[in-house]
Amino acid sequence: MADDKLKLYEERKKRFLAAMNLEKPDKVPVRLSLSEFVAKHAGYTLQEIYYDLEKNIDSINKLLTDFDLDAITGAPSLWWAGLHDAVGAKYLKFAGRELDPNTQFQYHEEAYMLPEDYDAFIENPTEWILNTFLPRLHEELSEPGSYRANLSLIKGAAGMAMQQGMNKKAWATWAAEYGGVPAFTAMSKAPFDTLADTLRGLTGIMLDLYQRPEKVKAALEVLIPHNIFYGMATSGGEMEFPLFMPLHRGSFPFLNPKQWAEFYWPSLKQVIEAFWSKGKRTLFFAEGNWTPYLESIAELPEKSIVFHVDMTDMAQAKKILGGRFCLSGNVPNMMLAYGKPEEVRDYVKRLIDEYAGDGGFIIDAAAVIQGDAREENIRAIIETAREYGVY
Amino acid sequence: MAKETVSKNTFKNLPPGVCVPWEQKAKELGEIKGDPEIIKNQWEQLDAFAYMYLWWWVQR
Repeated sequence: MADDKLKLYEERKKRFLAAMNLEKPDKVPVRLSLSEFVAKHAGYTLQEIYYDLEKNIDSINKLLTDFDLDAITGAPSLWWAGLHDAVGAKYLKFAGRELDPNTQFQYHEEAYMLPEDYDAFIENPTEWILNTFLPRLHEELSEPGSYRANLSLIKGAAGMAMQQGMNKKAWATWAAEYGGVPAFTAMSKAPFDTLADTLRGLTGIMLDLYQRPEKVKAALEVLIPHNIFYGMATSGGEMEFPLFMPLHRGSFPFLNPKQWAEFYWPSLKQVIEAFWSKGKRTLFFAEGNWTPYLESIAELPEKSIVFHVDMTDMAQAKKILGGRFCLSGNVPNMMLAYGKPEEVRDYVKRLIDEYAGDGGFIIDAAAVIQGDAREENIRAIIETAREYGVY
Repeated sequence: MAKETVSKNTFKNLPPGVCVPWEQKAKELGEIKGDPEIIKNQWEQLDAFAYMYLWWWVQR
């Protein structure tokens, strides 16, 4: 690593870690959760970044050349569309195949787990995933044991290893050549989201809460150790940076507060506490509005999470969680897409004035920044934070 | 939705990270002439990789 890039990496890392530890760094750190915006900035179509891993990675090189960011979330597309085609995955639609070359990917939700699957899932979820879930999710695996099905398993596993290998190499390059610091180094989910996102889907889980609540609870109990294991395995032993946990169905009002307390929170709390006991902090990426649940979230061990504010009431988050957890986010994505740079500047200034004074604050957009964000607004966030966010 | 493929499980209550437990595989292998720990270690690493591949499709 060149000396100047090493110095830059260390400065950014120190700033980022200090905020997460509730300290006052030299400046308010800027961590932007950038996805499809990065492709647009680099001049790639969305089809190119979804299908071509090298272009997906290369787009970050340009981002890091042009923008001064303390932490980045990695290559813009989490998903490799070519791998999805290889297994015939039905749950995502990609630019350039089902969609126009510059259309954001779309999630096609179905109940890939049926109500009658609960017992087999609870007994051995891993075996159930292979024997029942994947043949439903992957068109190529729809006749298990067939030539096409066997090939899809080979291609899928090889593809995962290829993608992860390339990402690992890319992170080393981003650090060495650009001073790029990771916003997180692992991933896991709330057990309820694991069950309610890809398995039962929103319609399925909502019916289950009324028709088979005990099965739901038993499944959540089974998921707890798996989600802990998954998070620690994806960390690869790295413990300084947080684990990314995108939180979905716990947003108000998907569940009412009684359901949230009964079904969502107990298993999530156990998972986060387990990570913290092993030394891994969670980036609690609270998509949507979590205001009614802030008092419960405050029960988590101090510093064990970074609470990310999307549509949660920022003042309430600061009042209830401030001084206990680092807060991040809240620059509205709508403003980044349709607002003017002056509006963005004013918003970022206000965030810094009202919420960053004591430290423990990271500037970010409210949600993942997609292709609709205007470049001048992204620059406005960074420039304002750099000019105005000096302690 | 694809055809129904619900099947009976071969194993019950396996811990995370395990698809086919080493204890089961060791029984099938019978006599091991060298150091079983070397063989066990490699079995478990690849078994955990298979586990991560399966759960990768769920944890998204």
